[in-house]
Amino acid sequence: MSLVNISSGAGTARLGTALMAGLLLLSASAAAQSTVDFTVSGTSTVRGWTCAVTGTAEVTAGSAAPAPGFASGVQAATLTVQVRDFECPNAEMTEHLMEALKPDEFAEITFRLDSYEPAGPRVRASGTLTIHDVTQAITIPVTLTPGGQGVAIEGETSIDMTTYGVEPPVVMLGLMKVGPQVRIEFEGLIAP
Amino acid sequence: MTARKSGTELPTSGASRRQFFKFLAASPLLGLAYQGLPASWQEALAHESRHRTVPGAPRCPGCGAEMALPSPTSSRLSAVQDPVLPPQNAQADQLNGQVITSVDDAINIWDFERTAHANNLPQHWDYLHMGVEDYETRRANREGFQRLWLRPRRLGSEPAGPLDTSVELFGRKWDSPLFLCPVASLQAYHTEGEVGAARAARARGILQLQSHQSSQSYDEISEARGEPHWFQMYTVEDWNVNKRVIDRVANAGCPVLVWTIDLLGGSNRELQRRSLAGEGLESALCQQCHNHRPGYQRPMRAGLEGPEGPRPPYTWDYVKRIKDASDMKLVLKGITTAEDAELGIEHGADGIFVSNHGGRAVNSMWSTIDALPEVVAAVRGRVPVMLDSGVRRGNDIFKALALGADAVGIGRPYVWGLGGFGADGVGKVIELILAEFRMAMQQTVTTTTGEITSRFVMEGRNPIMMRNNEFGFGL
Repeated sequence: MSLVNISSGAGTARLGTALMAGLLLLSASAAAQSTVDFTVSGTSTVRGWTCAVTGTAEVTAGSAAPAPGFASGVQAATLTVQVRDFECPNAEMTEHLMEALKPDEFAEITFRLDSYEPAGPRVRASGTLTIHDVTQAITIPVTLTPGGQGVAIEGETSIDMTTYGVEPPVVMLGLMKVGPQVRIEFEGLIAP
Repeated sequence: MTARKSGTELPTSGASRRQFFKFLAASPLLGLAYQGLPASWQEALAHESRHRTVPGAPRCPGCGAEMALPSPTSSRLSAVQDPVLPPQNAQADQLNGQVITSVDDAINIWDFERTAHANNLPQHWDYLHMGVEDYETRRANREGFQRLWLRPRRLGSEPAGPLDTSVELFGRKWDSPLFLCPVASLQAYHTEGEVGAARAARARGILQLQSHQSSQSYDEISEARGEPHWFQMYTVEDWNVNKRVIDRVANAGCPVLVWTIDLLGGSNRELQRRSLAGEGLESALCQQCHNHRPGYQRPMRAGLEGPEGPRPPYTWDYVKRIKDASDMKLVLKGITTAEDAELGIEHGADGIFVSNHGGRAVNSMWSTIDALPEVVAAVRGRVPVMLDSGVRRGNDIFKALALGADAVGIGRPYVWGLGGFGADGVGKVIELILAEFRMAMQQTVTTTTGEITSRFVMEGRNPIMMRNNEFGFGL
């Protein structure tokens, strides 16, 4: 259900977080919106890198299988990241990321939850991830921890950015190349 | 350097063995002798009979009928493709390390060495990897640990209590004796840099020393750690510059200053010079992609302008000079002899750090684990003794503690983790080594670090170099 934006420049974005956040929000009867922090890490021929972005999670509680923090289940969840919001360790890296993700054409990265399987404190969240206008099915293990402020959501996954049509940045005539695999980690708090 | 191709031995001996069983499988006497053969021979023969060029099983030498070999006693035969030779990929990866795509796939720290090598700029890798001249000190550091053998005790007289790996240094308790050594320019390996290492170390209760040559500032790192941390300092001739560095970190709350004294005579870094031959730091990549632009200074080197000061010589009096310049504890890093340990304490050092700079300062040095006993004897428990250089396994921590060290540091291994996966990689490296260390404690029925004494180690005659050290890997 949730959507996650992924910046292409540095690597993959965190998609899973958005999904989980969406699930959590479902416990509230109406759709609730929370923020989820994503970090995207990857490799290059020079060094490893990490970029970060804060996205939103929209979760609608409803009659579905109970999940941690969502006694009545999650009806729908969507995670959304605005590509423009990605921040890398320096301006040049952010620029390379934007060149790869083309935010003018593809402004958002989204994860939409389709189904989930609770397994103790974790949930296997299955849905679709849309990056660069390419949608792929994905399943992300998410940890949900109910607390006083809401339900904490945490998870990680890895993707190959080329499967979403994102070309890994090549800088300086090939002197530096970014690896296609990126690791996405996310954490946030789904407010009731 | 060493470059022994240990990987060639297994296939050679294995091939001879297979030739032998192939010959035996074709022998007309097989039917008579089969039942009397050892089980492992039966397995090998069964394998070879399946692979003979003539289809079908061996034939009875009397009637010529196909002869079905009895089922081997081991049921795994049917599930294993080749029961004669070990799985070659796993053997090779265990010997060489393996490039991995997730920290979860790491079996040991050598997988991070290979991954960092694969994912980093050759010049950056060379800088991290190098030992001076012919790498003798780097190799000696490993061989020193490998020459020491564990002498475990198997059962305790009382039930073992919960494992407590904590140590105390200058009144501060740490969750384990393992700490992260100062390593220069960590953002060369991952954009998370020292801050990434700080997050990983903090989460595991690990001490971390910031390098004077760090990519990130003291404040950035201490913010990530949630408290002030130790700082490693290189001095320059102008005392006023040194004093400004001391004041900067002291004012930021730094509790312990570590003065490195093993590079005062320079170092012959041949690999670095070879690696940067040609354009070197003037290359387009260096000039455009990171910090070596005109005027760049590392954070702990920047902003130190001011009037020039005296240029006192580097004598033992310099220890007292630094010690008196602030309220910080002072640790001397680079001590490898009893005499220097004694003189250091006499002149005000609060701690002794046995180090040969990971083999990056002077070649033909003896290993730090070899130097440790005489230093510990000279210190006589007056100050803490720390050790680094060549620490790669949990057993190495155990051996160093057994010989009197209070804390044991790693350098390259955690940077391999950082270079591969940022903070997650650093965290995994720490966890792997500490898991090995805890196992050593359990195997020796020691439940606290204080119980780890010299009775648990003994000196062997020769080091055992298992890993493939070609190109200096595995050291």
